[in-house]
Parts: sequence; structure tokens; C-alpha cells
Amino acid sequence: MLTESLFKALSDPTRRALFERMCQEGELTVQQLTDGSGVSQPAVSKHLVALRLAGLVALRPEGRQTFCAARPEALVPLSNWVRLYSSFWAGRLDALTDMLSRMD
Amino acid sequence: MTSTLTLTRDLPFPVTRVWRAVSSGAILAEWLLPNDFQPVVGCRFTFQSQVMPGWDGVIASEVLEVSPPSHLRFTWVALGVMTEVSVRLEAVQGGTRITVEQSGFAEDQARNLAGARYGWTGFLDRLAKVVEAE
Repeated sequence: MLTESLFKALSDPTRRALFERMCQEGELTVQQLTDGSGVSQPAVSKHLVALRLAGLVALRPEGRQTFCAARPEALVPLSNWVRLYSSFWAGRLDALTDMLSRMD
Repeated sequence: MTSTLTLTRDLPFPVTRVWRAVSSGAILAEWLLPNDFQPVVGCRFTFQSQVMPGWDGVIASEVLEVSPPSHLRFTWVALGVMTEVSVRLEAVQGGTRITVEQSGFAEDQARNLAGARYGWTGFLDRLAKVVEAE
């Protein structure tokens, strides 16, 4: 769910660094992100998937390149406890509903 | 000044089944979080959330009320924020209405406490400055 994927995305220091770079430098290609990241391009791509799942980046393919832009607005739930927990409980009630249908 | 969040859902299941799902530690572990909860007033227990840099993921709780099959209340203390969670069940047409309330959020204070301890405030503030400058 949204909150868990946000925490997961931000708990890795390489991913945090990629995200902060995009915040500071604007839209970058995967290649540009890889240069100076200290990790391989496949690793960068994997990190971008995790960031995208959390809503933290937008990916825009164009020709053979993919442009990556940060979406810092996705962090807003983390700065507001009521919003964060609303999101948390909504996800937990989904899981409860699923659980109940499997109980006898 | 404190805030409360409230979520309400109508679940197509009988009250007795929903009560079992919210008052059994083993079942809570399946849909909420791993825990050592016991449905006994005064029981002190923990929920285990995701471990992350700066936080061991532990949520400290104490059972405040157990009134089968309709009301369960416990404290929820995580990341320096102290709140209370209330789970209320009500039989309605077609099943059970569940109302989850979490109360006691003192927004500014909570954010400062948690931020100071866990470094999020600094991280978020730096990002906010970058976004503002765009």
C-alpha cells in the first residue's frame, strides 16, 4: 500500500540519493542518473521501479531513452501524521476485508 | 489541540466473525501487524512494523478496553507520537459496520518530536526548499 511502498522506497540510501538528485537537477535520463551514481544501470533501473511504485518519480519514455522526474509531492503523507495514518488504516481495512472472506 | 482520524466501512460479515478478527492476536497479525496482543485490559504489548533507518518499527501499546463484541481500545505509540486507537463494531443490515478512530494527534508537536528523533524533518525541509526554488 502507498505508505509502505513510500517507506520502502526511501529506506534505501542509493534510492534516496537518486531521488534527491532528480529533485535538484530536474528531469534526467536513466543514463545520466547512472553516471556518478556508483551503481550499474540495471541496478538504477530497479531503483527507479521502486521509486515509481511509491509515486516518487514519473518515467517518460522518448525514443530509446527514458526521462525520469521526481514527484516530491508524494512525500506529503510523511509530513502529516493524520494523512499518513489514514492511508495506513485504509490499507489495513482492505486487508481485514480480505481476511474475513477467508475465515469460516 | 489534537486531531482524530475516523474510518468507517460496512463489511458483509457477521459481527461475531469481525470481532474475532479484531480481538485475536493471531488474526490481527494477518491483516494489521505482527504482535503479542492479548484481549485483556491492561495488557502491554507491541506491534512490529517495518524496520527502517532510525526506527526499529516497534509500536508500543496497552489495552484500554475490551467489550465484546463491539468495542476495543488500545494506545498506539510510535515514532514519538502518542495516540489511542478505538475499534467499534455495530451490526447493520447486511453485516457489520466497523469504525476505526485514532485520536490524540498533536500535529506540530508530533512532527517536531518525530522529526528531531528520526531525521525526517531535515530531509523533508531540504526537499521543500528545492521544490520552492523551481
